[in-house]
Amino acid sequence: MHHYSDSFTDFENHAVEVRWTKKVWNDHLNKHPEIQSPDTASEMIREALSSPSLVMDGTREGDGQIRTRCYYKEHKRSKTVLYFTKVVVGCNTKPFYVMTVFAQWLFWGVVVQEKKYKNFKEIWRNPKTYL
Amino acid sequence: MAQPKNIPLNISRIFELAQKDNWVVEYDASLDSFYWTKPKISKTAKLKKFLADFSLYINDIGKIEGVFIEYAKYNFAAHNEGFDELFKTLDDAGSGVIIDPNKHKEIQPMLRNMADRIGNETLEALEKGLDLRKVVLA
Repeated sequence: MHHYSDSFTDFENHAVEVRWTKKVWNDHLNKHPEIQSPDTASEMIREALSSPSLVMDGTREGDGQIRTRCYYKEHKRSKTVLYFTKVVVGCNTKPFYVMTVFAQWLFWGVVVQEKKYKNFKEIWRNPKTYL
Repeated sequence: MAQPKNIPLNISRIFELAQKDNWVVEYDASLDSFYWTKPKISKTAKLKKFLADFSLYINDIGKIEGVFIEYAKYNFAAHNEGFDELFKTLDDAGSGVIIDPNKHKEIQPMLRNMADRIGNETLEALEKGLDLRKVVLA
């Protein structure tokens, strides 16, 4: 029995599921208190997957086995900082599965982590995003 | 590390803050994510990234509650010397297992190294125009 489960469809119509035990949910809630509740987490995931600002696809350097897709949803920005939601999805099986979701503030001059690594490539970008 | 100017005390002394607040270490192998945080992160803490590799949890009064590194073992540690032993200890403990650095003294030099890097990189960012007040207020 999963404590938190839901189903989503991403911007390319890929099915994505979340199936987290109570321990996994509690671990995420402690690390990322902004997810607040299953309803809030699902809303964050749904928005990022359905209308992402940036999507990075890649394999993990070192083992090259775990294929992940990172969906970024930019919410707001100012002259100095940009606020976004990030959802990391495992896509080595179908349906894809949510590995994590969190919000982050990114300050100008710093890029999202995947852009630094050659094992990730950008597969989608909203032309209006600053990510 | 150099004595910083205009840096909140807890950014220049993260290692001491971590010891005082009994921060714990956790590695999520499936995400390759590293956490060094307070055991219970405040609901007001936000994840903020103004350095190349490190994100910091900063609460509503500007106090740091933790460090988060994405792609920690296979990218960060693979490209930065001095952290192999830390990830060996975390691998041995198992994914998602919470480690108390006070019970694993062997990882403390690497955590101090990490804290010093954060302090030094923050100093470099300040020299390039980073405004820590805006970081806290964001």
